[in-house]
Order: sequence, then C-alpha cells, then structure tokens
Amino acid sequence: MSLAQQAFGWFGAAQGFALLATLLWRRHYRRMPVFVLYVGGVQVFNVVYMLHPTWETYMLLQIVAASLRLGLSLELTNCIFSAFPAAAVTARRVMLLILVATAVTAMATAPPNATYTRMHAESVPRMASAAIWMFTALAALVLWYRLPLAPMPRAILVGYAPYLLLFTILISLLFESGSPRVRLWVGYLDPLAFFVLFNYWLRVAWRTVPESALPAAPPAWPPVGALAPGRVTP
Amino acid sequence: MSSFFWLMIGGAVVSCLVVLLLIGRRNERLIRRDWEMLLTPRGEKVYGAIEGKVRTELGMADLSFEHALVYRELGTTEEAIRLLDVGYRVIEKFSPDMLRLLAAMATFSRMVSAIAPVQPLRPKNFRLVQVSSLAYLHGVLHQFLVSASERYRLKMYILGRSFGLATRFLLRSIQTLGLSPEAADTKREWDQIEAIRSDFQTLTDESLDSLRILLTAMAREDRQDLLRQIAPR
Repeated sequence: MSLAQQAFGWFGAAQGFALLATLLWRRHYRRMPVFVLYVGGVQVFNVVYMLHPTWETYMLLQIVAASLRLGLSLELTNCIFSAFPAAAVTARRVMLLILVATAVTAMATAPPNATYTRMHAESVPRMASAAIWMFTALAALVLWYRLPLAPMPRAILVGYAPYLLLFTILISLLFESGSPRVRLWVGYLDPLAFFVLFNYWLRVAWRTVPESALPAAPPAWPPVGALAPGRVTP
Repeated sequence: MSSFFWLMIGGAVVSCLVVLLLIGRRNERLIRRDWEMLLTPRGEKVYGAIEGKVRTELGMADLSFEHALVYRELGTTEEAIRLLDVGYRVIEKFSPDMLRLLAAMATFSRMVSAIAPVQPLRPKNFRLVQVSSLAYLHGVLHQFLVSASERYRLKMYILGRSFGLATRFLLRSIQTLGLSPEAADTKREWDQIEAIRSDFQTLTDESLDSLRILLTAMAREDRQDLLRQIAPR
C-alpha cells in the first residue's frame, strides 16, 4: 500500500466515523439500525485492514461488508414498503427470488476443486452482484408503485447501487487477473468511490431527521374543501 | 469468473443505471403530495361531513362537562349535576351513531388491505383502566392476525366496545353523583368523568383516523356503496 493510498484510506476512515457519529447524533439508528451497523462495521474492519494490510484482513473486511450489505438491503425493503402491505408482499417475493437465484448460480458455477480462498474470492463479487440486483429491484418497485421515499433511504438507494456496480467490476477484475497494475487501480478507485459515497450520505444524514425520531402526532389532514378542484394545496 | 457472471454484471449495469436515472428525476415532493391527496372529492366530502358532525357533538358534550366542572368548583353541585346530565344525553345520542359508523366501516374492511397498515390502539393514550386494558388486549390480538382487513375489523370491534364501556361508566358516575352529591367518594367520580372525557376524545380521533384510512383505500377502487351507506343524513 503506497503512502498516498494510506493517507487517502485514513482520510476516508475519518469521514466514515464522522458519518457514524452523524447517524447516531441525528438518531437515524431508530429507523435504520442495520445501516448504522453497516457504516460502523465497515469502518472498524477498514481500520483493522489499514493497521494490518494482509490478504486475510482484506477478505475479512469484504465478507463483513457483504453480509451487512445484504442486511441493509432487507432493512431498506422493510423501511420503504412497511406502510404499503400489498407492495411489500411483492417486494419480499422479489427479494427472495434474487437471493435464491444468487445461491443457485453460486452453487452451480463453483468449480468442484475450488479452494477455500478461491471460494471466498468468488463469493464476494457474487454477493455484491446480488445486492445490486436487490437495490435495482427495490428502485424498480418504488417506481412501479409510485411510492414516496424518505431522504435517507433515497440516498442509500441512489448512491449505493452505482458504487456497488463500480466495486463489483473492480473486485472481479482484481480476482480475475490479480496483476499489480489492476491492484494499483483498484487501490485508488475503490476508496475514491467510497469516499464520494460516504460524503453524499454524510450530507443527507446531517440535513435530515428520520421520521420515527419526530414526536408522534396524528397524521395531518387537509381541511375540508382544501382538495376541491381548483384549490391549490401547499 | 464465468462469462455468465459478466453477462449478469452487464445486465445489472444497464438496468440499474436506467432505474436510478428515473428515480433521480422523480419529484419526491410531488409524489408525497399525490399520496396525501388520494381521496376522491366525494370521499373527502363524506369525511368532512362526518368529521364535522362528530366533532360538533363531542364538543357539545365536552362543553357541558367543562361547565359542570366549573360549577362544581364554585360549589353549585346541583347545577353541575344537571350539566353532567345534559352532557350524558349528548353522549347517549352520539354513541349509537358512532357504533353504527364503526359497524359500517368494518363491513368494508377488505378494501383496507389494498394500501394502508392498521396500527393497534395505544394503551397509554387512555385514562380509564378498563379501556386501557381493552387497548392492551387489542395490541396482543393484533399480533396474531395476519391480514390488514382482519386487523381493521378487530380495531373497529375494540373501538365499539370501548365506546360502550366509556358510556356505561359515564352513566354510572353521573348516577352516583346524583344519588349522593356530598359523599366522600365524589372526587373519585369527578376524576372518572374527566378520564372519560379524555378517552372519548381519543376514541373519536382513532375512529376518524380509521375512517380516513378506509376512505383513502377505497378511493383507489372508486367504490360508491360505502359512501352512500356512511354518509350522514
């Protein structure tokens, strides 16, 4: 790991902890606990990797991130669809279908003589790919049902899927070739993309308050006549 | 990595970017406003009429109880009891109307499953122990039911029972005060009347909220039969 990569890595970690602090400070954990866990977990294992930059710690970071990512996608499903039972049933079915399809393809395409390390190397991009499909399916269902999105779930959906696309392509190239030049590029591009993503989340998390953190109040209802044709509702 | 995997990645890139582009171009404020304006004009009119009627009747009863409390503090017990009686008569008329409305709403509960989640009653929002216990029971039974329509019917039933219970307790308290206005336990009865007032308000709010959920769900299917049935005459 070059000095520039290390400096960038520490800067990214500091930003990650700032995001974690903001999520806790603004009480986003009430509505999205797995997301907070994801940010915290990834940062802790990222620091472990930077202190001991070995293949094992890198794989550990990736496996933890991939597991929490799946949890995050399920939490996002619940967060977006919980108020819409009919759409939630469809979303749950789609999520299950994607998970089953990922498991089946992973089993079917794994070579019989694959080593433990190779299996890990295969599983990380596959899990990331499954997460991309899950986020895409969620976004498609949101569009289909024309559901409202709160700022934080929207930021996760809009920001995370493009990052995952880049990450999956980069990590697949890394595992495929393993050449030093690819490793160098991955070493720069992945933290840069992650830095941009966390910066976006940090801004959204700071500016918004989760709905569940607001004091409970009966839903506002427009006064009689406010919805009549020709009247403008603010 | 197999070529199938790369094919999947290619598909993900195209579909993900298209979908996210569409999500990015959406106007969230406009969508939220659309969801808030789901009622049809007729549904909205019915809701407005029912809400107006219910709030007026409850307001009349509330005013009588409030004046009764003032007279009681001034020491005019007889006048206070007379005002309590007036308030009770309003409630006596109001309660069956409310029960009929809840029964009509329960009939159309199937439509609720199309859109809205049903929230159980919160025991801490009620001051009468018996009504609060019913709310606890509701919370437990709610967990055992699966569909939104079943949960909605259960809520209507619990609301109906709670209205009945509160009305009975109100009558009992007024009768006790009428029989022995100077007895030592009158304070307890007055406190109970105060609690009943608060619970009536909460029950009415919950009923109106349930009606709004039903009308919102119904607006999507454009059903006119419920509107005809529950519209105040």
